[in-house]
Amino acid sequence: MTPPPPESPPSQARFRHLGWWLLGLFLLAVIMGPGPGILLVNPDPADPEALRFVFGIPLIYAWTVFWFGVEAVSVALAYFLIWRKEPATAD
Amino acid sequence: MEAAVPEPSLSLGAVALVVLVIYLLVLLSLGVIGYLRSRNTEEDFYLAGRGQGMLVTVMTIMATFFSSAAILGIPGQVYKEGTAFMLFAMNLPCAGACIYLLGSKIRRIGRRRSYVTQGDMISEYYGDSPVLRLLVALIGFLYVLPYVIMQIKAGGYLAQVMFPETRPLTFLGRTYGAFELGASALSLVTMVYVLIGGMRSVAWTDVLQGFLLILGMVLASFATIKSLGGFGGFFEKVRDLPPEALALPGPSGIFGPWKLMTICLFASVGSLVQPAQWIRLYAARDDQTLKRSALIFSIVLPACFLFGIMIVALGGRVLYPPLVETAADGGVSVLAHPYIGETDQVVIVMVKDQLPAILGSLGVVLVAVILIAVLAASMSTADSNLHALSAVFTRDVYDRLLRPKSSERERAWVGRIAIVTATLLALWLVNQGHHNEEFKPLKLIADLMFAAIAFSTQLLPATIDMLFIRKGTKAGVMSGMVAGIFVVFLSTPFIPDGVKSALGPVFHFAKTGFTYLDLGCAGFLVNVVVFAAVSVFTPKLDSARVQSLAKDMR
Repeated sequence: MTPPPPESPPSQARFRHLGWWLLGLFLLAVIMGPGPGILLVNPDPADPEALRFVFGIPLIYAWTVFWFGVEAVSVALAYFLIWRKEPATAD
Repeated sequence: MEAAVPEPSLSLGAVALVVLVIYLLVLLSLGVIGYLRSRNTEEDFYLAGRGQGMLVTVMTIMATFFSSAAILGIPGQVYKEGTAFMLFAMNLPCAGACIYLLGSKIRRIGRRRSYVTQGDMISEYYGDSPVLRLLVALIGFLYVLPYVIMQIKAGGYLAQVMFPETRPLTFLGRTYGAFELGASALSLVTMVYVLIGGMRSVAWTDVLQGFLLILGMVLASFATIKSLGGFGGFFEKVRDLPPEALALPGPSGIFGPWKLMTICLFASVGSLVQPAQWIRLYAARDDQTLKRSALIFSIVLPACFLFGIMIVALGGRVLYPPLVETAADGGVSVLAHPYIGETDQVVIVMVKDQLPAILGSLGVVLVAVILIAVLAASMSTADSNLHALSAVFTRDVYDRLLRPKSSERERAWVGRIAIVTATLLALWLVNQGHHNEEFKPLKLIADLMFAAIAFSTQLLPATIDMLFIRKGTKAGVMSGMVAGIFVVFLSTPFIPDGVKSALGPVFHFAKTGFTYLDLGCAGFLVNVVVFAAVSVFTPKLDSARVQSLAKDMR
């Protein structure tokens, strides 16, 4: 199989730019999901009126699934838009 | 510790035995096929000729990650801590992304310079120091041994559930019940196929075990949701959980956001730089293989947790609420419901109770399949770690320090002896822990997992420096590792109380770190500070050599 031609410099710069954005999005998911961001929604166990469920699902579980989705989309975009297009290295 | 498994509500009897025998025969057959396809070289035994394709690479990395801790320990934590611990699943995409981000450079230089272990790469980069190589090997052992122990222990638990009617055997004046027999069977079968086929057998069995695991997780989740009245009924019952099980930091007050975030960032990558996974990065065929593996791992593995095994644990919390005890000093401990026995066993009890109730005799077969999947989780991790331990001992200790002129054939035999010795040692420790309540180091699978990963995380500063920064020195990396290992050891029961009190404020500072941060992260931070400080004042590495190594990583 003929290896793909190397990317032109502007295209590589665009990949790098996109890569930083995706890394930022991924880190945002880590900070918002398991990190301090969860304090925005974490229900107070002592407060009987606290919101603990959204759409019938435990709030913390829904929050986890949402930010996992963001992580997964970041990795998928990195794969399809950057990694897959990188020129192959010779072993 | 006497059997804490609840009274069986159903006997799996012959069904479990038949499924188990078929499974073990298939594993042994794959071991033999691996042997027949192998070449008699060290590189083939440890890296399967560096030619593993995408399916084998992703499944063997996932199956090695999917240990008994994933199937028993992590759900046990969700059972104890409620929804707070579900956030733990978010560590997996971090590990997944690093399969490519770290793995591609490691794979390239590994192939170009014929590395087999972590020690090969780290010690060459920092100037081929035997002390550094030994230090890296020590970290490898500190990771591998607890991991093998917890897998064997899980085999014992499973045997107790699958074959509760097993009559105890007496041998050499000692009585062996289902736990001991199960633990022994798991260790010995695993040991045999690792011995005969090396990496090829380990990876092929991992593919089978990986598929079984995913199937088992999906089936167990399906059974739990179905038995609690479908999605609506399941979440309706979850509403009955106490408020502290639906919020951070969980009923025992341990899992605050900083701790969970640092677990996600450090435990994930720490698990990826452990010896067995590092070897898998070397063994991948090309970069494309690692890119695809990273993508699949990042999506499939967390989904299996979030929509599979963690749902089972949450259902277990609904059906068998744990007991919460508050001590006089205000400390809270969460204990398993008496029917569950130990928190680690919630998945086993749930599966065994719920599936036959909704699916009848088909359910019994499926219970056997799921329990075999749990066994697969244990065996797939035990085999990878035993195999890695053999590589580390042979390459980093025997070949470099004990007998530098040994032949390849001699090293192959030494590697196999290392596998047998490690298996028997781990089995002995598991049996000791089972019979001795005071043998605390082996108490819970999840505790073992966090300590093992924390040790492995101490390789992370060196890894990041070699791959990206390239400013560290030999003295710096060694000092950092020693400091990091010491900090992690402070959290374990292996440091006597007298030493801890003698350390005074140092221990107090470390203990505060353990409370708010992941254990590996606490060690990592100290490691990085010492590494950087010592590197400033010690001789730099030869820049031409560093450039040459950096070129081989590109």
